[in-house]
This record gives sequence, structure tokens and C-alpha cells, in this order.
Amino acid sequence: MKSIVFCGVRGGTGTTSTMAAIGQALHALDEKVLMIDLAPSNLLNLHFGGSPTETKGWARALVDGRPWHEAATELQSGLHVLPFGLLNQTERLRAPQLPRLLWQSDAARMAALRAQYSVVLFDLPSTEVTNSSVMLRSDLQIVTTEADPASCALLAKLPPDKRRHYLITRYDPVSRVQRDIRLLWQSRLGPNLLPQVMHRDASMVEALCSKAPVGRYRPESLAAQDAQHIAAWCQSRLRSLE
Amino acid sequence: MIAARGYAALLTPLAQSALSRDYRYFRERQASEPAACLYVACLVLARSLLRLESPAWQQILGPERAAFDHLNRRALRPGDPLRYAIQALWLLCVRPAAWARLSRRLARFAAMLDGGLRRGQSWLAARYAGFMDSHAVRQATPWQDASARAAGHSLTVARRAAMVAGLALSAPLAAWCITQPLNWNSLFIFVLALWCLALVIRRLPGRMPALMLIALSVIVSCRYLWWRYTSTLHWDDPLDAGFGIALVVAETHSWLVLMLGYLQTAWPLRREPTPLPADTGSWPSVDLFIPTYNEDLSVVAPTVHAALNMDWPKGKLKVYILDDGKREAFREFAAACGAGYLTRPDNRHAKAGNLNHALARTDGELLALFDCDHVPARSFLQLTVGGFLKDRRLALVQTPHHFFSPDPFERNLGIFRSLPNENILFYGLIQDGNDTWDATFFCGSCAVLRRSAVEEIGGFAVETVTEDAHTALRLHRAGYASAYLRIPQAAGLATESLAAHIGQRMRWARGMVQIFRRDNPMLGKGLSLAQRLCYLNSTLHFLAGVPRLVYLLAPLAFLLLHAYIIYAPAIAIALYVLPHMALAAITNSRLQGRYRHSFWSEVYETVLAWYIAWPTTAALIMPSKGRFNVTAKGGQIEKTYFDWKMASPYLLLAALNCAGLGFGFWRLATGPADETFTVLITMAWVLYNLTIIGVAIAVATEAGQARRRSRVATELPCNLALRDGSSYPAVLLDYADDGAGLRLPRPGLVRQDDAVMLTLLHGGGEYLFPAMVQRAQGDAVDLALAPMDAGRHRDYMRCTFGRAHAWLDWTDGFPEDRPLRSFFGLVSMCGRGYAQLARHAPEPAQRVLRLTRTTAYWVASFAPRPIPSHAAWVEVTQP
Repeated sequence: MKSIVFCGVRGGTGTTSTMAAIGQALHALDEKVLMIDLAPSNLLNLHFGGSPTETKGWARALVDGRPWHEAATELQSGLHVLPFGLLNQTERLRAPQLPRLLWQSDAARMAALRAQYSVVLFDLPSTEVTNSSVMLRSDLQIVTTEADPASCALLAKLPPDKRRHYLITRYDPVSRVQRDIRLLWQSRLGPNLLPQVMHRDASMVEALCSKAPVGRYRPESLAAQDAQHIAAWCQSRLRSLE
Repeated sequence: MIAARGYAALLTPLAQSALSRDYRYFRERQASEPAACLYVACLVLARSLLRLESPAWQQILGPERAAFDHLNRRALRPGDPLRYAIQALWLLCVRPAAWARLSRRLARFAAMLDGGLRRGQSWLAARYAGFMDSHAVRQATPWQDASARAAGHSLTVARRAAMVAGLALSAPLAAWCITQPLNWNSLFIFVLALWCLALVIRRLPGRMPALMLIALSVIVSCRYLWWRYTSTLHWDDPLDAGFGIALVVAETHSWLVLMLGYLQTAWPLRREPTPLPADTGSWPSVDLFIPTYNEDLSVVAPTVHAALNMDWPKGKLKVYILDDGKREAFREFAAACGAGYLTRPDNRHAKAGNLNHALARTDGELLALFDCDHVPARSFLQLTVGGFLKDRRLALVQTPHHFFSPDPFERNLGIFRSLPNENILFYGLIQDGNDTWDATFFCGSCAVLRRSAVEEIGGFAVETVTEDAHTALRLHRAGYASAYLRIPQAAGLATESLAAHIGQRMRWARGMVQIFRRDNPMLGKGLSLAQRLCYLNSTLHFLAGVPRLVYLLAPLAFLLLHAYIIYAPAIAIALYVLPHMALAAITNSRLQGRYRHSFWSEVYETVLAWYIAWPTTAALIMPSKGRFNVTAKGGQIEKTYFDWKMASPYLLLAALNCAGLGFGFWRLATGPADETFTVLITMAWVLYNLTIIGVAIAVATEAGQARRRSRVATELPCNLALRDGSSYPAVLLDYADDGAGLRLPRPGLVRQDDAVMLTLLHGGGEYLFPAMVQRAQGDAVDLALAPMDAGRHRDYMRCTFGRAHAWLDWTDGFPEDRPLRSFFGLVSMCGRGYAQLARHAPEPAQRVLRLTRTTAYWVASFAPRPIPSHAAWVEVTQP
């Protein structure tokens, strides 16, 4: 079982939507996928038909002392999502420590997990991009960013890490600034910049309106094709790590 | 009514009801009253005389009556009883089931033979694969490295001795083989054996079988010519003698072209590009010239943009527009995009003078030359310049001319990208063969030259109208080498009408003959024997006008004027001529099959024959420089029309040949019996001529083109962004300078007149081009690109025409050459040609043709039809 963590270099780069699209594309490539939402905003399950006021989630279960794995939802055979759950203000303060409790689950549980899924995707909030145990434990780290000058500055501040890969989202080739920044990152980051970008596409927004991943909402769109290509890249990357 | 009561008295009620049923049936089939009575009477006669209820008849008449479908389905016509009778008789006699079985058996037998032959060939190929294509056989000839040649070490002593010994042994053998007379039986066996051997060898892969086929063809053709000269040149009649000599001269020309052609194409060199050194500082500076005279800026702009996009160190490539038209718009364009602009006060010596003027005002080490419509790929210089650094004596590297628009043959016959065009033989095979002998000549465009070499010979040659070939000849005489890279790195527009095409070829023909007269490659020093022969063959190719006319008119000498042009019995003609033609066809199919299909050379020659006959003859006698008529580029033909002016020679030839055919029938009917075979052979020859002329007439029907610019077919990924913010991946199916065609993932995404953004992907970058939807049909979309500024235009060229691999599939996708199939294809094109002629004929002629057609259809309606295959009730098992 391999794990990929998605994190934004800052908030609002479309990390959750991208991860939902890629998770669905990985499932279409015959992987058994579990998507885990580590962000208290709990937006991942919206992409798969959940309700915004849904309280069920693994963090809710942990705080309530119930087994966390029961909070998972099966979307399709082989595609499961584990939402965060609704926490109140005080409970949210403990949120960064909660993932550690996940690792500390009993060995039998972890073995069962490994048997059931081939890829686990984590959606990490952007505030944890520098210091998270999840980042360190994952096989593949994908940091989503938009091609703008602010993100350039933020990226420069991140400590260099060979395992970290960068994915440009909402890419619009009309903008000369975006094209130039992409060229700049291609030369500066080299193989750490994903060769495929997620284009700016109204289909992504409309897909969330319909509460479906873009690959199911509009499979012929450019965003769906981008997600397919990135999923294939992830798959081959993970295989080469074995 | 009276008749009815009369019948009632004579017949039983059963017969009465049957008759009235039949009568009603015929009336339903819209026969008039008397006609219906007549048909009923015929039926009664048939029933009483023939036993229509017998099994044999029932099998034919059958419950479904499918056999008479074509007659039952329409109204009755006067001749119908006869038609029914003929169909019934045919069905009785012919037994379709038996025929079907027989034809199936024949097909199985043929397939078995073919399979056996192929198995034998693959066994041979597997066993002798090493021998056929061994490294020793494939090794490059010593002429590839001109420096070695200049140093005089080209042929070692041992090699020279081996060659002399080989010649000394084989020459007498060959002479004996060619001149030994044979009686008819031996000749028949000899010819049959050679033909079978050729059929076996021709499919084996490798160079050796090709050489063997050449040897066989040379033997047979030389035997043929020897026989012609020694046995068939007796004439008593001056008329016979005149025609006979003309034919012999024509055949000698063809023989010479055949032999030299084998020499040229036996061993294509397939040169690989020489890699450049890693240090770009040592790469030479290049001046790129784009001469132009009266072409539109829209034709020249893509070439300039693509040239500026070329991959070469900055500062080492300078692009110049050489404008003989002295147009302000071009000057501004050059200034806007950063190209140089050169012009001169006069227009002396046309293009060559233009180039020489520019030569004096620039200083790059190398010159790259492009016609104004030849768009280069970005990798052109990187592939071609390497040789100049490695070999000091290399003065010319030529690359193929590829056309992305159809030439007149392809457009008017509808064979664009489905059959090889006229160009491909020369650039795919002949230049490659020339390269083996270091005889590649300059073709005016898509080439790189060394400046010092050109200056040493005094600049570009101005004495003839084909300054490119003459310049190459002078370079060869001065001891320089030339190279040919068989990788298309540029593509341009083909001539857009038959008139322009013929004008261009006339200029080439005149120029080559001028070179032959003024700077004869066979004389003078500086050339090797093989180089002389290659140049000679190019000249002979353009002198084929008169011989081709002789071939087209020769059979008429016998049919119309009863002149014996070949003094030989018909059996001798069959045993000498047929093997010569068959083996030449088989060998050429093997050597050239990928680049030109069988019989198409005759078509190209026939189209040009009349037009180049006079200029070449005149240039042979008086080689003063003719007028340089510029080939018009980039025009377009609006709608279909028949080019009467251009087609008039073909019509004359066709009329003469038809007259010959008529005379032939007359001679068959009234002439002496021993001449019958000769007349039949001559009429077959006339039919062959008529087929070729028919194709030439089809070419003269100019097909209109709907679009302003030709599109290049391709399959590239691209994206389409719509106004509402959504984007879709698409496939680019074709592109031109001002438009593109796409296939979207599903229909209904765009409508006509939508504004969209086309994104082309290239080299990791994405380039956007605003466009408007012109047409949306299903998932296929046609876009018109918005006018682009220079920068965006350059990006567009980079993504489309300028790609390094844009033209690499230039010889792909053509079917294998099958001589018989090729010939039948030509027959159908010939039929279309004559039909087009009829369609465009003036009104009185059209009336006659319509009358003829109606009569022919009426006669043909009496012919019996075979039973449609779904009515398989005839497939009753028969013993």
C-alpha cells in the first residue's frame, strides 16, 4: 500500500478538488483507493455527494472514542473516502495531533488496511505544509500551487526536499505571467515539477456544484484528462518506488 | 368484350379465370390493352409449347422469381417478351451454380499457387538472408568521402584490378548472351525461364535480388535492341523507312534511359546526417536567402517566420528576403520581424542574378536557400551543416522538396496522399542514387551551399534558365562534392494548375538541354564517368517529348497508312517486345515501386510530351537563353472547368488514335488474313495509347478547390478553450496558415461563429491562438484563425509547419505497387477522363453523345442479368 499526500502551498489552490479528481482517476486505473481528509474544513466528502452539515468523520469518531475506520464511506467498490468530521472550536485545537492516533492503531488494523487498499491519499491543510508527520511518512508528496508571484515567494521559503513534487493548478496559458513562471519553475525545480498541469477549467467548478468528481461529471473535459495524466504519473512513480 | 365472350365459349372456366388473372396482372404492370392481350397470348403459347411445370423450368421460374427481378420491378415495355426469353434461355444454359463453383475452384487454385510461391520466396530469403543483405553488400562506396577522392586514394590497386578482371570476364559473356540468335522454340523457353525467375526473385528482400533483376532486364533489353538493329531494319518503301527509323530512334532513347536509370537507382546511398560538434561556438555562420519576385506576402510570411525560428546559435543565422519586386510591404514586414531585406536596381538574370547580388552583400560562411513558399523545419540546419564541418570539399547539401498541397495530377485525379506523386520518385530514389556517384545536383531550394565554393566558380550560373543544375555542374567540375539527405525538412506549395505545371517543366526541359549544349557534361574535364552519365540521364529524361509522341503515333502509321514500321513477323515481335517490356516493368516495379507505381511514368511523359518536344528540339539546335517564365505560386482555382487550351494536343492524339482504331476494324474486315495478328497487336497498342491519353485528358479537368489554402493532414493533441471557461482536449486533424480542423471529444460542444481559443502544445509549452468556429459537424470542427501579429505567427509556425518531424511520413501510407492493379486503376481514370470530356463538350457534340448513350443503354437492357447472390435458391445440391 502506497500513500500520497496532497497539500497546498497556501490555502485556496484547489488541493481538495484536485485530489478528488486524481483519486477518481486512480480508481479508474484499477487501483483500490482510500481518500482521507485531514483538513478540519471537511470539504472532501462534498466532492462525492456528501452534505456540508454531515458530522460523521474519523476525527469526530476519535474524539468521541469510537473506532475511526467506521467513518469511511464506500463510493464504489474500491473507492472509499474517510471524511474529517465536524469538530467544534475547542476540539479543533487538537486537530494537528489527531493523525498520530491514526498511526498508533493496532497492527491488525494496519495490516487489514494494507490488504484492502493499494493507494491512500491524504488531503492536508496548507497550514501544515512545512511540519507534518504525514508529509514525512508518505511515499509521495504533491504540493499544489498556482503559478503566481506570491507562490514563487512561498515556494522559495520551503526547505528543499527531494521527495516533494509541485503541481501547478488553475493554469491558464493566456496569462503571460503564468507561462513565464511555469518556465521558471521548469528550469529551477527540474524533475520535482510535475510535467502535467491542472488547467483552469470551468468544469472543475461545475463538477463541485454537482457534487461529483470531474472525471465522472464531464469525462471529456480538459480537467478530467489532466487528472488522468497525473494519476498515471503517480501510478508509475509509486511502482518505481518498490 | 366480344373477344371475352368468344374466349368464354372456347375455354373451360379454369382456363378462363387463369387468363383473366394474367390479363389483369399485365394491366397492373401498365401495359396498354392491345399489349396486354399480346402478352397473354405469348404466355399461352409458352405454356403450350414449353413444359413450364417441369422441374428444370420451375427451378428457374422459382417461387420468388428472383431471376426476373430487374424486369418485374418496373412497368412493362415493348421489348419485354424478348427480354424475358433471353433471360430464361441464359439461365437454362449458364447454370450460375456451376459457374460459381468453377470460379471458386479457380480462385482456390490461384491462391494455392500464390501461397506456394510466397513460401518458396520466404524459404529462399531465410536461407540466403545473409548473402542477400550482407554487410559487404551494404558497405558504402568510396565516393562518399570526397576528400579521399581528391587525395587520389579512392580506389586501391587491388580493387581496381578486381574491377578490371571482373569486366574482362563478364563483358565477352554478356556480348555473347546478347548477340546469340535463337530459334523460336529456344527463344520461347529462354524468355519463359527468365520471366519465371524474375517472378520468384522480385519479392525477395535486400539489394541483391534487385541487382539480379537489373541483370536480367539488361540482358533482355539489350537482346531486344540488338535484334532491332540487326534484323528489322530493311525497308523498300521510303515511307516505311521514315517511320521505321523514327521508331528505332525512339526505342534507342528509351533503352538508354532505362540503362542509365538502372545505373542511377541501383544503389541508393541512404546517407545519414553528420552530427555537429558539441561546442556551438565552432558552428559556422549561415545566411538564409528567400528570393521572391511577385508572390503575395501571405505566401512568403510563413517561410520567413519559420526561418527565423530555426534552431541555430543566436547571431550566427541571418535571414534575408531578396525582393526583386521592390515592394514596400515586404520591406516593412522584414523590418517588423527582424529579417534582412535586400533589393537591387534591375532584374537581370532573374533569380540567379538576385542571388549573386545578395552574395556580394552578405558574409556568412554557408548559404541556405529556400523558395519563398518552402517552409523550413526548425532542425534543417542542424541536420545539414554537419557535413560541411567534416568534409572540406563538400559544397552542397540538398534535401527533398516536399509538397503539402496537391499537384495538378493529384488534385484533378483525386489521388492526393493515396498514390505517390510525381515528385517522390526523384527525391525519394533518383537523387539518393545520384548521391552514390557523388552526382547530386542542386534543385534551387531547400539546400545549403558553401559560400567559398560558389564564389570560386563565379557565383550562380546565369547562362541557362535552370541555374540550379548548372551551378551544381560547375561545382562538380571544380572538384567539389555534393550530398543528399533524404529527410524532408521543408514543405511548399505544388503548382496549382496544369498550365503552371507544364510551364515549369518546359523551363526545366529547356534549361537542361541548354546545359547539354553549352556545358556538356559528357565533355570537358572535372567529372567522373558516373557523374557524366547521371547528368546525361537527367537531360535524356527531358528529351523524352519526341520519342513519346512517336510511340503515341507509331501504330497509326500501320493502321492508317499501311506502313510497315517493324520489319518482322508478329511472332518475333511477341517474343522480343513482350519480354523486354515485361521485365522492364517488373524490375522498375521492384526498384521504384515505393516511389512510383507502374505505368504512371507513361502518364507523366504523355502529359508533357507535346509541350516539351518543341522547346527541347529548339534548344538543342539554338541554345540561346530562353525567357525565364516564373512559376506562379499560391493561386487558386475557384471552380471545376476543362482546360481546352491545355488539353487540345491530347484531344488531337486521341482523335488520331480513334481513327486508327476505326481503320483497324476496317482492315480486320477487309484485309488479307495473314495480317490479322499484326492488326490485332497494333490495335491493342492503340487501346493502350488511348488509355494513357484518357488519363491525360482527365488531368486537364481542373478540379476547383473550396478552400483558399491547402490543409496539411496530421494528428496532434491540442486543447480548445471555450468562452464559458471550459476546456476540452481535442485532436488537430489538419492545419493551414489561416485555419485548422479539429476533432472534439463529443459532438455539440461548439456552434458556428463561436469564439474559441486553440491551444497547441509544443516542446513543453502551450501556445494560444484565438479562432472562430466556421463549421461544426458532429465532433469535427473547422476553425478560422484570427489574424496574428508577427510573434504569434512565429509561435504558430513553430507548432505546426516548423516541427522537426512534420514531414517525415512523406513516403508512408502508399499502397504497394501491383502492376496490374495500377493499370486497371488507370483504365478507370481514363474512363472518367473521357466522361469529363463528354460532360464539358459543346452542345451539338453533347446531343450526339446523349443519343449514343441512350442507344447503348437500350441495347444493354436486353442482356441477361445474373441472379443476385441473396437469392441463393439456385444452390440446390447438384450431382
